[in-house]
Formats: sequence, structure tokens, C-alpha cells
Amino acid sequence: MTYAKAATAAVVLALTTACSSGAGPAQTRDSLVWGLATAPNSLDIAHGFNKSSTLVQSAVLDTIVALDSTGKPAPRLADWTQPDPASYLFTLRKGIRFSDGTPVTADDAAFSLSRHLDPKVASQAASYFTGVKRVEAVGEGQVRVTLKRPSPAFLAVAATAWQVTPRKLAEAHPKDLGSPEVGTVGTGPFKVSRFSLTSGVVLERNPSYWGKPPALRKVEFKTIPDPETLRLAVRSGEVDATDGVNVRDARKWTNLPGVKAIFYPGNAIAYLSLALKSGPLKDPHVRKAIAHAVDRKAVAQLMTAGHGTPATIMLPKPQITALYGDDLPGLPEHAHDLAAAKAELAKSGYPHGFELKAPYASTGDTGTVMQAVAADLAKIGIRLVLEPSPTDQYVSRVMEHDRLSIQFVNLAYGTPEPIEVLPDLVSRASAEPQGFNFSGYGTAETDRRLDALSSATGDEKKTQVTALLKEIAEQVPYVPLYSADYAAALSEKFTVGFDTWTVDTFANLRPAGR
Amino acid sequence: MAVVKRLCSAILLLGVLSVLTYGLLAAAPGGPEHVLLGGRPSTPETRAAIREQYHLDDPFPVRYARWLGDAVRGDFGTSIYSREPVTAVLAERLPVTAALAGYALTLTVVVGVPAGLAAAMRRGGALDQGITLTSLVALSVPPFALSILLLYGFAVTLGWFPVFGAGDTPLERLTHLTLPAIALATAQAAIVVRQMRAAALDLAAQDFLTFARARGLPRRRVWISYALRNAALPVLTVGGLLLAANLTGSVFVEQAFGLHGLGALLIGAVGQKDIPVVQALVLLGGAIVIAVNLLIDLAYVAVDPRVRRRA
Repeated sequence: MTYAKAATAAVVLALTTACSSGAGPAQTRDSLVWGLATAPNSLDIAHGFNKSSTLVQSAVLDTIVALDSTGKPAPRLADWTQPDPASYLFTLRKGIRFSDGTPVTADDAAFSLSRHLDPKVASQAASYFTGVKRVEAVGEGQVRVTLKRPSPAFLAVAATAWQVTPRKLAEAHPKDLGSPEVGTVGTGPFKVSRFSLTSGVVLERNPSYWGKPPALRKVEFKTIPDPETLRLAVRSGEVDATDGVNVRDARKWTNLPGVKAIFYPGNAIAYLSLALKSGPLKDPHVRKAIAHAVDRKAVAQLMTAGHGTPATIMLPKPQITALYGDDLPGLPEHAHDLAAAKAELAKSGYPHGFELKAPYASTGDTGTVMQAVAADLAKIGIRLVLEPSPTDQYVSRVMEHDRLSIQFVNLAYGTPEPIEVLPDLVSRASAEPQGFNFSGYGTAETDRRLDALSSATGDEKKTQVTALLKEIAEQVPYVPLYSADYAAALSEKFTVGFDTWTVDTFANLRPAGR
Repeated sequence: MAVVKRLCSAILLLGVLSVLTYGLLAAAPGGPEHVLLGGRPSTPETRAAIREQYHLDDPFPVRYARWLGDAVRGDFGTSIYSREPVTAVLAERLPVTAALAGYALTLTVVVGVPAGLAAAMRRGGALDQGITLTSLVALSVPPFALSILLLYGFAVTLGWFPVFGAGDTPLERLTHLTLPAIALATAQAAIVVRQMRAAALDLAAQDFLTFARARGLPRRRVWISYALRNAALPVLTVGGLLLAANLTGSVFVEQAFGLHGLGALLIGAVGQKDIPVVQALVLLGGAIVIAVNLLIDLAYVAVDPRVRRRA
């Protein structure tokens, strides 16, 4: 075929597909368009450890192990044994291949983990694996991981971030594996057929996938940053599914014809951080007064529109459930009570209240929460001077620990292990710039407890977590606000289950009725 | 000689632009670490490695000189956010923005010039008042609000146009960009209408038009051959500026229609301190403005013989 003919054929083909897409709802469809609110920037968790990137990665790259629907580690590419508390021996499945047809070796799997420890890679998952001492390929299809000391959270962390890619590819591209230019190769149910930051990602069924072939032949990801445009695209049927649903707007999504809105517990915690290094917030009575004054039920309703709960414990709700089940520990609570708030304030060094600058990000949800908090605090004489700044500027200042005061923080996590969250809250290391301890609370004692927690199991783990939570509840460096559900919208033409821990969404997505 | 002079001033302008942009970004709070660390907990080793890799501890002049040295050799660096070469990032987005800008400008001119001329011809009449009022309304509607309105009406309710994206084939691109181009062109067409009307009214009192009418030339000939040509200069200037503005800053419309163009890229890159991308974009913007101005000057020469003679 000549070039001209080929080009004509391509145009004709494109036109027919353009006309046929959207038509014929009668036939079952095996391709799906997924709308993302932000563009995935990298298909490698080392440089794209964020919501959209990791979502696409989950369809292409398998992690060595998985989490089941209760949050317990389960085999995926490998099963494991634990020769001693501080080491794991992973045995790879027989006969698994990357989507380019090359077999997966123990060396590939080992390098896929050890590269996160290489400062040259500057991996965003590096802090997950600081406890790893040595990773080595041993024998036939086996990888041994030796930890510096026992760490029961290791498997959960591996289930999130130890994605297996070919060593050759990862070694050649330490800094730009997974970029639109380099792309990636994995063992997952899909393989990448196109990746661009502008026109989106196209995935096709991976013919050499080791598991049950996915029902979908093709998944297309499109980025639509404007939430209203995204909703209109779902409504018009141009987009079949999206995770870009803000629970606050739940009502807008629950009445869309032909679309199901799905809510499930989010592994996130929204709270107020009280920077206690200086000023009025240094006074514990002031912090308790704030905790009593904030009406978290109202804030939770405002921010989650009924798809979430007020929080009383400083941990994401799914982690609380995974650790304690229904048997919650008795922790001090600061119920919404203006009289108690005023009484605490009267005991403080600021009995008549005070004025405090409170910076916040001018876009997103922060402003709404801070206005509600400011109104609540005004009732006991604490006047917040709200200072908006552009989100990027606000975030860089916060991460530099510059002008910390009373801030709204909403952090999302990946594993069911409280040890992923608590160091962010009360370790002294995280109180340094680029750390997430914005209150600055942390003592030798909290560090010791965190240290004990990192290798604790069973009841010992519960004891340590409870002790830390109790200390947080007593000292009030943070005021927990709410746990919001995660939300997704899916066309009724398709069906899949969502839960907090499993990431097999794309392998399990299928046309409805099949 | 004039060419050399113009080239030198263009280079000087771009140089000043690049120093200013780099300096302002370097002076603003925060750095690219947040993007590089992905907003996640990090280890001190990772942070040190990043500072070293991106030379964040070097003083500003050294960093700027390093960037300039590479840029002069045609290497604009790698995007911090996407880890792609900056030229690839820009090349991917320029066609969308250029198509949108061209489409919008075409609509602006096709609607704005005749409407302005018609308003001037029927000065004070019902048509003039109607056009003036409509352009006032069009000028007052913010493009993003109009975008949402157009989306509801024509994409969702009527289903004539797609909701988002830029399309892949030329035909798809045309249908995808129609609503965004209308959203962008509405206010701009209103500006052109006002400009065209004012310019044509100025001319109406000129002797050569009176004389043309006195010679008994048909009204159409008088307005199109005499008035339109003479009114072209101010309109060309406005049109050129609108084109330059569309090529660099149609952010709201891009956002509303899910278009991944240069405007959205610039906003994102400034926020992420993606200095290589911002620098390249600012230079591209500068070059576009310079090129458009040159085109306007050339168009003056083509349209108006008086400019030619003066030169």
C-alpha cells in the first residue's frame, strides 16, 4: 500500500470509529473510557506515587504480593515464607512473563525493590523501604529480603509499592522509567499501548497475563481537570467511569441517569494540625479548648455530604477497623461543648481569647473547612485571621514548615498499618522540613514507642498504637475532623466491586450482565 | 539593516524575559522538591540526592548560566514533572493551542469585521444598536461561564458536539474545538466589532469617502474597497494581539473543555516550579509576540501603500 493510500485508509478508519463510538448500546462493550481528574505523570511508582498514576500502574504492573479485601497480605507474583522474623523468602510463580514476552526472573524482582533504595533514583517510595537491609536473588525464582529488624508492615508496603519491572529497562532509565517517552513493561492484566500527558493513556489486554484474562480488551484514560466538565462527560456517555468524584458533590453524581455512584471507606484522615512550638498553641489548654469548640459533626457533614463520619481517633477509619475491629479502645475525647471549651480557655494563659493567623490554600476544600473552624472558634474568643494563598505556594510553605499555625490537613495512605501514619504525626524526624509532622509534637518517648511499634505484632502492636493515640488525644497536637469515603462513578453498562485495599479494579471490570 | 536591528532587539527581549522569569521563580517560596518527592514522606538521603541532581544548592547566577548554556545549544532540559524533554512537552501541546487560537481568530474576524462595518454603515439605526448591545453582552460574559453554558446546551442537551478533549483526526479536531473556539471568540469578536465600528466611523467623515459617494459609486464599493481597507490597520493590530493572547493564555477555556494546551501547561508548571518548562514557555510566548508583531507590520505594508512609501 502506498503512503497516500495508507493515510486515506487510516482517515476512513478513524472516521468510522468516530461515528460508531457512542452508538449501539445494545451490544456489550469491551472497551472502557476512564476519566481522571489529574494526568498520570509517570507509570513508575518511584516517580509517580500519586492517585492517578498509581491507578494506571495498578492495571499494568503487578506488585510482588497483594492485599485481600480485609487488608491482609496475599500472594500475587510470589508466595512467601518467613525464615526468621526479619527476613522474607519470596518464591515467584512459575512461567510468568512480562507483556513483551520475556520471562520474569528473580533478578528482575529483586532489582525492582532495591532500586527504590538507590538515592540516584530518588524514589518517592524510598521512605517505605528504609527498613530493608539487603535484597538478593537466590536460587530458582526466589528473592530473599533481609530487613534491618523485624517489620510486620513490610508485606503491606510491598503490596503497595514493590512493582516488578524488567531489570534491563529499569537500570537503563533510573530517572525516567515510566515517563511518556520510555513507558513501562509489566506483568499486569493490561499493557501500555499509548501514554501521553495530553491525549491520555491507552491500555490493551496483555496476552501473556498469568491470571484470568480481563473482560475488557481496551481501557482508555482521559484527563479532565474541571470537575463539572468531567461530570458532563460521564453524563453524556463519553466517559464510562471515573474516580474523580469529590464526595462533597455526591448529590450531583447520585442522580445521573445510567450512572452508579459508588462509595467506599477511604484510607485517609482529615484533621487540624496545631503548631505547638510557639504562640498560643503552645498552651495545652488552648489546644483542648479548640478541640472542644470545633463542631466536627457539622464539618463532616459539610465536607462529606453524608458519605463519611466525624473522626474522634487520629487514624484513617479503615486502619482503625483493621487493627481493632469493633472493639475500639477507650481514648479521651473532646466532644463538641462550648462551655467546656470556654472553661479550658479560661485555664490557659489566654483567658480572653487571642488572634491567630491561619494560612490556607485558596483552591480546593481547605478554605471551606477553615471558614467553618474560624466560625466555631470565634464563639470562644479565638479569632482566626484567614490568609489564603495559591495552593502551590501554600503547599511549598507548609512543607518547608514555614508559617505553621492551625492548618487543615487531609492525608491519604496506602496500607492498613498504623505505622505508615503515626510517624507522620508524632516522630521528631517528620517535624523537620519536608516531613508531615506539622504540629511539631514529638518526644524521645514517642520516638521510642514508634520504634517499638515498627516491629510489634498482635497485642503488642495494639498496645503501642493505643498508647500513642492516647498521648495524641491527651496532648491534642491534632484535632481529628472526619474520615471521608472515596467515591467513584461507573456507567451502568459496566460492573465491578470497589474496596479500600484491593487494586484489581481493571482486571475485574466487566460489561454488566456478564 | 532594519532586519538586523529587529533581530537584535528580539534576542535582547528574549534574554531579559528569561532572566526575569528564572529570577522570579527562584525567588518565589518553595522549590521543585515537592513535585519530585510526590508530596510523600521522604528520606534525608533522597532529599540530598534531589538537591544535588537539580543543583538546587548552587547560587542563582550559576544555575541560570547552566540553563542558558544548554538552551543556546538547543537543549531546553527535561520537565521535572513528567521527565520528558521540554521540547517534546511543548510540541505535544502547541498543535492544540494553535488550532484553537487559529479557529477562534477566524471566527472573530469572520463575525467581528462584517458586524462592525454593518454597525458603522447603519450608524444610530436599529441594526447598529442591536450589534452594539450584543457586543456589550458578549464582552461581559466571562469565557469560563460561557464554556459551561455551551457545554450544557450543545454538548449534553443537544449532543451535537463532544464534551471534552481535542480529538485525534483533523475532522474530530474540528468538532472538538468548535465550542471552545466559540467560547474564546465571543468576547474577542465583540472587541473587534467595537474597534471596526469606531475605525469605520472615523473614516465616514473623511473627504475621500465623501468624494467617492459624490462620484456615485455604489455603497458596497465605497465601504468595502475604501473604508474596509483604511480601517484595516487598527483592526489588524487588535487581531494580532488577540492571536498572541490566544496562543499563550486561553487557560480558562482549555480548562473547561479538558484541552491540554499551553495555557494549562504554564499554570501547572509555574505551580510545580518546573523551571525548564516555564522558561521554554515564556521564550515561546515571547517569540510568538515578536513574530505576530512582525506579521502585523508586514500586513500594514501590504494593506497600506502609505506605510510602504514612508519606509
